[in-house]
Amino acid sequence: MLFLVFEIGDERYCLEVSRIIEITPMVIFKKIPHAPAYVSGLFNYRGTIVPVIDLSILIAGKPSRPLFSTRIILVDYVSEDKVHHILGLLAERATETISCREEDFQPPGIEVDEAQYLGDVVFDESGMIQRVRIEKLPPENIRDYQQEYEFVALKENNDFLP
Amino acid sequence: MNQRSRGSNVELFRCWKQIGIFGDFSCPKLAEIVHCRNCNEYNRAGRSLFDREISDEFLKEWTENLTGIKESEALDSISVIVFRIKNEWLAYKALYLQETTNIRSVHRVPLRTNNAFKGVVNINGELLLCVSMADFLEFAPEEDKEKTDLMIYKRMVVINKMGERYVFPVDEILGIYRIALCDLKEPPITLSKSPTTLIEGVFNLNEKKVGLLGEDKLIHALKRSLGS
Repeated sequence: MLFLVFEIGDERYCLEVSRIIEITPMVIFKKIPHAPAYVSGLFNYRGTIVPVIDLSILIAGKPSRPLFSTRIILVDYVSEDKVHHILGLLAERATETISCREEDFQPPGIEVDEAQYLGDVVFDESGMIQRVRIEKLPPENIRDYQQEYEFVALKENNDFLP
Repeated sequence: MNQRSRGSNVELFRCWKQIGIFGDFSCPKLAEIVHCRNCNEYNRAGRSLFDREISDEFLKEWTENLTGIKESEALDSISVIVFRIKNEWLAYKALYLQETTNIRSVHRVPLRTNNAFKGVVNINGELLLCVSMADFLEFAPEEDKEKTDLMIYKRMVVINKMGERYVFPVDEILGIYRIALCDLKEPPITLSKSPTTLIEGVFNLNEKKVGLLGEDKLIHALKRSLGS
C-alpha cells in the first residue's frame, strides 16, 4: 500500500493514498466564526464547499505555515451513515510517499481518547511514522458542524473512488 | 512575487558541491550510490525548495483554479505500446508487454522454422519463441522512405499474456501511450472481414493511424501457426 507522508511539528504522519482524492496547494479559506481553532475554514473545491481541518493545530496546536510544501489533502470521508464527504486536511511537508504493507504497522500500545484519529505506527530508516485514521477524524463537534452547513455530499456513484 | 522568503528559510549544506559529484568526489557514500542524485541528502535538499513561503498571488490563483470543474481524463482508457512494422503502425496493450530489448540473434530451429516462426531467441537467459509479425500479418515490404536525421532503432518486443510469451522484432518503437476507449474506432469492414486480421480497433496518434492488435486473437493465431 502507498501512504502519503506529512509532517506536524517534528513528527511524521501518514495517510493511505487510496483515500486521497487530490492534493492541492494552500488556498484562501473562508473563515468560520466560532468554529474550533483547528477548522481552517471553507473553500470552493470544484463546485463543492469543503471544510478544511488544519492537522497541525489539531495535533500540535500550531497552525500550518503558509509554505509551498503545506498542502491540502482532499480525502474521501465516510460518515457513520455511509455518506461520502470530501474533507480537506491541511498538513506541512506533504511531499513524500512511502510504500509499506498493512502488516508493517504496529499498534502504538497506548490509546488516547482525545486523539483516536492517530493509529498504528510504522518505522523507516529515519524514524517512526504514525498513521492517521480518516474515519476517526474529525472529532464529534465538527461532524455536527458539517450538518449545520449542509455539507454537500458527493453523488452516490463516486467515479473517482476505486 | 514574494522575494523575501527565497532562500531565507532554506538552510542548505550543499554537500554535493563540496564532497559530491560536483565537488571533489571525497564523499564515502559515492562508492555505493555512484551519483548524488541517488542520495537522500540531495533528495531532501531538493524537496526543501518547497519550504518557501507562498505569495498572495499564488494563493489567489489557486483559490480561483480550484473552483473550476476538473477536466477529467476519460475514465476508460488503456495504455498501449505503439510500434512500427514495415509501413504499418501497430499497438499492443502495455498490460501484456513484458519488455523491449535490442535486436538479438535468432536461432533457427531445424524443420520447424516456417514463414512466421523464425526460431528461438535468448531473452535474459530464457529461450523464447520468435515470430516475424511482418510475415505473419503479410505486410508489404517497406517502402523506401527519405532518410531523416532521427535515429530509428529496431527493437525486439516481448509479449506475455498469462505466461504465454512470444518475441517479435519491430522496426521502430514510438513509446507507450494512453488512449481513451472512445477514441478507438472499429477497423474498416474490408479489413475486419479478412480472416487473418488481428486488428481490434484503429486509433489516431499524431496523424498516424495505429491498429490495435487484439491480445487474445494474436496469441491464438500465433499458437495455431506454430502448431503447438
